[in-house]
Amino acid sequence: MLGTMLPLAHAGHYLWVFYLVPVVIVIGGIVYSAIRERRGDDG
Amino acid sequence: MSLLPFAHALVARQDLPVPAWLFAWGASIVLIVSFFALAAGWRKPRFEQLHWRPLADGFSRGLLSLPVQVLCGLLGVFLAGVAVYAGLRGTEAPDRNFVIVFVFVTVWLGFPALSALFGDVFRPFNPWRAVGRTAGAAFRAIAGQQPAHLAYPERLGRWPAAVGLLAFVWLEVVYGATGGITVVISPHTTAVAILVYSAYTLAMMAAFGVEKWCERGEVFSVYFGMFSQLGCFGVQDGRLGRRRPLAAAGQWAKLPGSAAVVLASIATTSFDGAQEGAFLSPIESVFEWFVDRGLGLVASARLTDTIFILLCFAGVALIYELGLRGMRSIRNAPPLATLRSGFAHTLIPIALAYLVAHYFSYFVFLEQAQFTYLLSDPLGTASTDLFGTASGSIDFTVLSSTAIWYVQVGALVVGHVIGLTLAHDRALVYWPNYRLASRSQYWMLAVMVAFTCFGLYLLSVANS
Repeated sequence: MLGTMLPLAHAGHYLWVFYLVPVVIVIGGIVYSAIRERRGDDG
Repeated sequence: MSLLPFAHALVARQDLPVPAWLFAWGASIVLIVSFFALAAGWRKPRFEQLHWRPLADGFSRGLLSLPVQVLCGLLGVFLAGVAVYAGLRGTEAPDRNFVIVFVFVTVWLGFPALSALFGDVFRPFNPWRAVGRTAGAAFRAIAGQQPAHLAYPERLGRWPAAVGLLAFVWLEVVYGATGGITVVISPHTTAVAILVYSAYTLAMMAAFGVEKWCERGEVFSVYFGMFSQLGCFGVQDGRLGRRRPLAAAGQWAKLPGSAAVVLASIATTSFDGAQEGAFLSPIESVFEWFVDRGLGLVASARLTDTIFILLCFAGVALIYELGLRGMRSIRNAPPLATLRSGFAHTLIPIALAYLVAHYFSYFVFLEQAQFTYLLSDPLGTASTDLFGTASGSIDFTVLSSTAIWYVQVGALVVGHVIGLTLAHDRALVYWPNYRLASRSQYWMLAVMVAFTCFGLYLLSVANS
């Protein structure tokens, strides 16, 4: 019932988001560590 | 209409235990774990020295002897001649004509794998090199002096090969197969292209010298030679020998334009994998935009595909450039130009992984055709049965779609882990402090994870 109500017909078009998650996590980790390091240098 | 599976990423939807995207997450975790293992335990460069050991003298002399060189050259020229003859005189059905599978599958996909395993095996079979060397020897015999060559513009480096690589793939996947309007490049066009390329190559060899052009401009020599740098066999000072695997790759990219060659390889494979999958919808939109503006169907399709193949190249280059810029932000980093050529070789295993992942099944299936009916009836006119295999066919059950998927995932993971290892090793040269070296590689880790996830996404869409 719920399945027919949700607009899932084009859900497949957004599967790329799942492939982007690891890239975002890695880049986020790099940026986070770079900021921490810079703050450490300033301190 | 072609009966052969010319849609390159040839797999059906697989029956996987988990969603395909979870493999991308798993592959990323493998890369991250590998990265930290390298940071913890790999503190001195190990691939800067070749650790060269010559093979047995008799064996080396035998393989590199003039009669063997002549024999291999003759075989290369003969096969190129058969391909051209079949293209000009054989059937126009691409699935029955020897030239299509021979050029675009057996040679183009077979030699990268052979080269990575056994070294630069294309070199002795290179038909243009054989003709060029023969012409040079004839000139020396008649004129009694060495042929005079122009000085090769060193700034060009391997750029002619990079452009040639893009042109070759453009010919195959854009000119030949444009958005379903034509199925595949015709045998006649392929034969004409070989003749045109032969004239161009021999002219360049005459101008700059055979070996110089093979090292820098001859597309096939440069492309296959690039993959041969990964393997443990090579020739040095006229002797065949063994070296540490992957070690030769670090020296390969010193010439300008080498990075462009390896980036073009990744980009063209990506485009070929994506054009009927991930990029299908945007390609259709741009194609319709051109058609709406009055451009012909074939011209619109070719123009659209050309734009997307160039966008792929720009996208792959941008990811690499971002990784380099990230490295540049680390203390004591060398200039960007040094980093650009210094890390280009780390992409060679990725280019090979992309090739295996995208074309493994295609290669296995079409080689059955190559070594059965295409070999016995090269013209495809049902007039010959040279080896009694003209009635052979392709057995598509030799590989299951699930097995193909695991090969694809395995190739991408292994290729990127090797790329990461080479990058870490090179970073230790530029940053002798291993902590700084590891920190510089955060950005290459991001590049590798991006390439892995992008590759798996393309494959998963193509497979479905």
